[in-house]
Amino acid sequence: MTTAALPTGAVDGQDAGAGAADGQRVTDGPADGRGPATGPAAGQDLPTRSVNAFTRRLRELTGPALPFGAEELAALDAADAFPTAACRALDEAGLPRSYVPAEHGGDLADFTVVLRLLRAVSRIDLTVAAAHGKTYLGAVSTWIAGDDEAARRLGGRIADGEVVSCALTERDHGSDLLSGEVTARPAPGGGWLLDGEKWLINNVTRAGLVTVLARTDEEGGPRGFSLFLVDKARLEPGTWTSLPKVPTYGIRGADISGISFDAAHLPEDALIGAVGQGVEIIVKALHITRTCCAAMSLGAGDHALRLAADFAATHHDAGPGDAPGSAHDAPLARQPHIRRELGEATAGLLLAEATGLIAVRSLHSLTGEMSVISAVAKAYVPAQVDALVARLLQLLGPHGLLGPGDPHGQFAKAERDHRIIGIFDGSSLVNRNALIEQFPRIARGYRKGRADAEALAEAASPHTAPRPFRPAGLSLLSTSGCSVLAGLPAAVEALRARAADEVPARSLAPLLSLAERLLDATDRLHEAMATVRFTPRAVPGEAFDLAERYELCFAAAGALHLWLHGTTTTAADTTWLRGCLVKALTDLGEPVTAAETDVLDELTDLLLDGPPGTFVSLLDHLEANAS
Amino acid sequence: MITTTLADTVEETLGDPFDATNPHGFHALVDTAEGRRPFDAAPWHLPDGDPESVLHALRALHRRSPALAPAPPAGAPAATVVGASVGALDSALRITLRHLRSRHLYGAPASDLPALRTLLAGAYADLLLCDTLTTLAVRGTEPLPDRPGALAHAAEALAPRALQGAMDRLSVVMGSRFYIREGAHSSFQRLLYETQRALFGADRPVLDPEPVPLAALLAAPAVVGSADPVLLAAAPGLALTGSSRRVPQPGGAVQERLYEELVARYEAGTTFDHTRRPLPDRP
Repeated sequence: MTTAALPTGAVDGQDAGAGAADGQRVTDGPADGRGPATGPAAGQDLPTRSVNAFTRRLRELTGPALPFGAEELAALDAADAFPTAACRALDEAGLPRSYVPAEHGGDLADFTVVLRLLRAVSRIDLTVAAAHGKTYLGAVSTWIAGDDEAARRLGGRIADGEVVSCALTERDHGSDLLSGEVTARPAPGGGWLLDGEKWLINNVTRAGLVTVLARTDEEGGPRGFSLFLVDKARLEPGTWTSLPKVPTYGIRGADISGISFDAAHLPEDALIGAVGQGVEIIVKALHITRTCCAAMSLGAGDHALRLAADFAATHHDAGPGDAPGSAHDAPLARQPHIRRELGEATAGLLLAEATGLIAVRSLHSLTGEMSVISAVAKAYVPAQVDALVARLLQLLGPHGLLGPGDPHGQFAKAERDHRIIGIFDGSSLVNRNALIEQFPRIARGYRKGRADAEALAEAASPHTAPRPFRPAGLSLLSTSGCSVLAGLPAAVEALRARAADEVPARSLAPLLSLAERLLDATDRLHEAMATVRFTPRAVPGEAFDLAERYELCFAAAGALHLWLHGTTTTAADTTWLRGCLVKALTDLGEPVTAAETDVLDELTDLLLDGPPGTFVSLLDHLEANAS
Repeated sequence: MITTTLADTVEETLGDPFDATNPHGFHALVDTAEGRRPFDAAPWHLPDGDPESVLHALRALHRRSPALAPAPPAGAPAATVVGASVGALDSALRITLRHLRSRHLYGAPASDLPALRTLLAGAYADLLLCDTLTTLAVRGTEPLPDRPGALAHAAEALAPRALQGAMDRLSVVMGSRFYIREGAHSSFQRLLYETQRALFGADRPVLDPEPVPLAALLAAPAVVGSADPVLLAAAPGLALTGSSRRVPQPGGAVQERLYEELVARYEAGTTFDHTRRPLPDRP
């Protein structure tokens, strides 16, 4: 098998398509791979065509007795068995090269591509995505802090299929990394001796290489820990042990286990970065990985929403007494409240996608703000997807979606699987706490209008190649705040200018009205954020409500930025953006009229009117050369 | 007069669910669900009685396992299963509180973190809300004479979402411990899974999408006389009557009061619902 599906690989002209008219159904990389995408961006840029080629390859592997067959994956899940064939197929398709930066010999030059590739895998099975994608988390510390030679060697091994894990957490300390008890002490004659146990680690038994955070100063503290890249093959037998697989609620086939070290000798060159830099490196690494987690949430959300929509479109609730043609003898999707819920779920997923897209692109252009943006992305995107999946389950479960209406239990599996995304790599609570700690700087930056307009435009233009990612630009705290929201007043002004110039007149007025309400809500939110006072460990519960509102404002502002940079002034489709703004304003508790919320039904049409197995995505509504 | 004799009998028969040697306890039930051992204890029975007594007896079973609990008797009020699920939320809260009190994060017990206390208080307020709605519905109370059926509607359409929402938020508080199917806290994931199916499974009634007149219901004398309106007003589940999907948690003095009450009942070994039944639990 070749690596033709890789981002720098094949170009498939079949993906070229015509531009979409207002409201036209468009898709992002059809999961079935049967038809061309028809959006304005389809076929216009190399990453899109490469992603679509990868998606088609996945489609070829999705069928009875194939690695991504629904029945096969369901059976593995029921048996708590690792999806070996699916992961091997991804290896053979060359996906590991996407985890290696181009400067270290791989294909990773644009995090947007990584997001789209992992999203495509997650649309089929989240266990496979979490198992395969973990290698990036395992390697990222070396990418950002290792020396060039170590990074080049690691890149080569990953390209050859090596699995890399990252062992941070311990049995009694969870997210509290500074309480870690695994130690590394200088070994007589050089190198390090590693002792202790890491637990609840994805892929740690399968991995050949493991990045380990260990205490190198007995006193601990922010400078008391260091990172090591442990090569199991180079450890003395008997100095390390794999701990048993832990059975989990979802992603049941994943290798969630642990590793124990007993005076395991590490060579000098196992150290990543300098002694004492471990926590700083890992916090910066998490800015990247927490952002990329959006890919898995978006894919799981796509999958669950597609299953729910197909179910609602094909199931009736007619009982024995309902005559054919009666009000009940119609697909569930035609019932007004179900139609509205599907539209709301679509809007929620589009808001999550806007957040994810802006966030991964900000890694390139707004690197210094990632302490804020990664926290928003990791808190908001999984929570939004959890919420929409829960609503769909509660709405359609009694109709059969939790039973016979769900072949192979795919919806139930997606629901179980996805709950892990909001837990690992820092939970929603941990990330909201990280956001709250930055409230004073964010509020100050907003008040002073500190937005990097050029970098923001780049983040909001997903069909253009981003500037190279510079790890050195990562910062533990954003000094300027957050350009996505600090740039909102200018975005609303730009929309106002478009509305003033538009022909025919007034078609942008409804959108402008929603955007102005968003700006007003954002202004008030930042005023409230500026008044929050707290001491460490005593963040008041009320601040978490402000954090949730901040995430909603960020998501809606992100959608507006994407629209402004991804549409031309003529014949611009406002449907999806109005849907996003209506959903965000409603969740913020801001006034929205009944007539405005009708746009959610239009989003339902986008969802239902396309061919089976396709997904609604902003990427297909954004033009490559609009701004 | 609340009748809990049947429930007390169930509790006495099934014993302390936290006892690892109890064949009806959480450890044994997880092992059974996981196929690690057969269910070798006596089958569970739901005693006969008046609807409200049956509700509480069923709640005593659901707080151990909704999946193993028998169905309500034919003719039982429709809100009975929803009301029984309050028992599952009771156990979920108890397991979460137990976990947080034993876990140290950032140098102190996790239960000291204000954000976690807020979420616990919110889940407790939701439990009180759902207990009130379902108990009165099973009792056949009509708090709004000019809107007959309003309370039953609230109990059957809103309470299931409120209960599940509270369980979901507690799962976030539990963090990775929620996700594990073995060990001390593994009953949490089983209770969540089984409650989800008990409330939204293929054999459950479809939720009526008509708006619930919750504000009027909570202000009605029959409801005010059954529960503290201040505590009910703090329930995050109230947000389900609106169109916003954000679920504000209790704050200020009412949050402190909810948390103190929750801990007091936990330490006293009584249920969190309004009956305050004594429990055999020794978490």
